[in-house]
Amino acid sequence: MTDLDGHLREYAQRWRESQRAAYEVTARSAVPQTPAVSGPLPQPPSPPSPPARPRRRWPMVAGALVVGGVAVVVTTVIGGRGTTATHVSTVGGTAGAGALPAGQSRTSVGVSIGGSVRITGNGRHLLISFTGGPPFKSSEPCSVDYRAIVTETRQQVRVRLIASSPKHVGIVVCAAAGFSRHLSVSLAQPLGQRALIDDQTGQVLPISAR
Amino acid sequence: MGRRWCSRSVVLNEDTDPVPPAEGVDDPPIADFDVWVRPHLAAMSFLAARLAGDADRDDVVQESLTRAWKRSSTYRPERGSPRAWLLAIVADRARRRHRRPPPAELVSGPAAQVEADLDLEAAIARLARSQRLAVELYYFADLPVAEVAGILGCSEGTVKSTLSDARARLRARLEER
Repeated sequence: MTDLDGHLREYAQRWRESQRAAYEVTARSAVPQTPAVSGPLPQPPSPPSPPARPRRRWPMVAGALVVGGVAVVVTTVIGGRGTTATHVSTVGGTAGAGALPAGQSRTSVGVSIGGSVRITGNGRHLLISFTGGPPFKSSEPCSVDYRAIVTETRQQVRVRLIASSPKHVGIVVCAAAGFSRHLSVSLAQPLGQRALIDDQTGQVLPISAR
Repeated sequence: MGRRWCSRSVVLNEDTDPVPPAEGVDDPPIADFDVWVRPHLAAMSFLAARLAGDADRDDVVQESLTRAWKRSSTYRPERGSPRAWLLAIVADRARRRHRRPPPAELVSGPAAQVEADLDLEAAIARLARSQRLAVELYYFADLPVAEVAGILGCSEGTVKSTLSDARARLRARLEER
C-alpha cells in the first residue's frame, strides 16, 4: 500500500456518498420536534420534552407501515476473510408502487417482518409476503414504500425492513387496512444452513414451505 | 510539542458527559435548536453510522439529539464549536449502544476494489479506540484536524500524531495480508 492516505480519502468519499442518500431520507425526521422543515423550533413545554425517537414518533403511521413497493435491496457478499460487504441494488416491487419523485421527502421507520418468507431461486432469493399499508403514492400520506436491508455473514442473514411514507405536516390517522404486499430479496450466496433473522426484532424468521 | 493524550478521552468513559454541566446552570435550551443542529446532522449521521453501524445510526443520532437537547444549556462556545460538541456526544452515545458485533461495511464496486476496501475496513476496526476515532472523524466525517482536536480535546499536533500512528498501524496490517 503505497498511498494509504489516498486510499483512505477515496474510500471515505465513496462511503460518504453511499450514506448520503440514506441520511437524507431520515435527516428531517431526526430533528426533534420540528413540525416544519424550515420553521423554528417551538419553545419546549416545561419541563422541556426530549425529542421523540423516530420509531416511536409516528405510531399511527408505523401501525400501517408494514411494507410494500419499489424496494432498494441491499445485498451482501462475503469477503474472503470473514468480513462482510454490502452492495446496493434496486429492484422492482409490487404493482402499483412508485418510486419517490426527486426531492420528495418521506418518513421512514424500521418494521418487523410479520409475514411469511419463502426461498426461491436455488436459495438465492427470499420472497417476503406480508400484510401492510397501501402501495406508495406521493399524495397519500398513509401509503407505504419500503426497502429491505440485508446483511449476510457466514452464520446468518439479517433482513431489516424499512417502511417509508410520504412526509406530511400535521397529524394523519391511517386506517388499519391490510394490503397484501410482497418483496423479493436477492442474496449474494444461497441461504443454505444460515439462520434468517428479522433484524428489527432479532427473532429467527421461519421459512414457509410454499 | 502537543499533548500526547487527549483530555477529552472522558468522552469515551462511562457515565460522563461530553461537556460537564456547569454549576447552577438553569438556562433554557438553546433557542431554535433545530436550526442550530441542522448544519451538523450529516456529520452526526456519518459518525454514528461509522461507529455504531447503519442499523443503529438513526437511533444513535436521535439519542444524541435528545442528549444535546437536555444538555444544551451546558454547551460553552469557548470550549469548542457546536459540531465538535455534538460529535463528541455522538461518539459517546455510539459507544454506549455498541453491543452488537461490528457492523457490516457498506462497500460496493469492482471485485478488486471491494477486496481492498474490505481489508481497509477490517484494519480500521482493529485500531486502538483513540486511533480509530481520529480516523473516523478525520477521514469519514471529513473534519479538519482542528475540529478533530476540539472533539478529542487534543492539540492539533496530537491529532496529527495520532493519525500518523493510525496510518502506520493500518499500513502494517494491510501488508500482512
